[in-house]
Amino acid sequence: MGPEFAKQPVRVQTHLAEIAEAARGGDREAFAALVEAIWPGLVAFARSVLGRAADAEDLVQDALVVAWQQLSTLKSGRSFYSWVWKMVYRRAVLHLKERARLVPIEEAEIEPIYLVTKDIDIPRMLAILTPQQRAVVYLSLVEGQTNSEIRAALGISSITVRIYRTRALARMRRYLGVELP
Amino acid sequence: MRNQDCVARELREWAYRPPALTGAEAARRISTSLGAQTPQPRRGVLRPVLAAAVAALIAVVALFTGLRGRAAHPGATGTTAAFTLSSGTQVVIELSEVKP
Repeated sequence: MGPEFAKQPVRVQTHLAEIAEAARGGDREAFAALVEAIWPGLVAFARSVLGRAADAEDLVQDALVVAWQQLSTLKSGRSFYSWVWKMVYRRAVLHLKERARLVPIEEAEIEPIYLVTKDIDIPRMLAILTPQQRAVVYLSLVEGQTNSEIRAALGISSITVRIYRTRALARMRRYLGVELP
Repeated sequence: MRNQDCVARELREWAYRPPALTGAEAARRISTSLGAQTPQPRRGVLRPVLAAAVAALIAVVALFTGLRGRAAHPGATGTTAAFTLSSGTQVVIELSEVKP
């Protein structure tokens, strides 16, 4: 399930899964209702993976258009959320590769800032992470997902999730000059 | 507040700043760009390949079965297919004897 979806009460999850099922059958209004419900969460996730706000909304829109076209490949409405999250994640990573805007880790400036005295410059902090690390950090810290939930949402192994998380936190620790778990 | 909570809060506030489009506007825009499109019917890639492989297997089995049938019944009649082996031997297959 997608990050926001997993936090919803069971009756809401069931309701949304039913809407996804109707959309899968070709119901345009049901799909519009789904888009409305998941839009803010998907945009927030896309921003985090991209490391900036620009392009996130266009990317999510494109992903949702493709999602509509490929809805019939889904086995059930319940898998819609994790499927769309994966789609946005992969498109965001591909988008960054195509634009060649990735900040090489070796060249990233990691000058510590101190949390107690300064606000965090989030885009700058995200720039020292890879897109994969950003996705894991976002799902872990913001959405409170467990390793297995992140594994399912991104379609990667649990070991890979742990590696991304450990490396990301190490870099953030150095950048922020604070202790993070 | 723990450092982790502080970072999580800042990241959440940054990521969840209101998008330029609301969910309803995004839904309308996506609906417009879709036009009259409907979800594409499921197209299996493996099915045609699998069907071709099975057909080829059946053809090979049928060929050998037919050859044995020809050897067992040299006088049998019916529609034939003939080809010549590299050794010069001509092989005639009675298609009516080809059995799955």
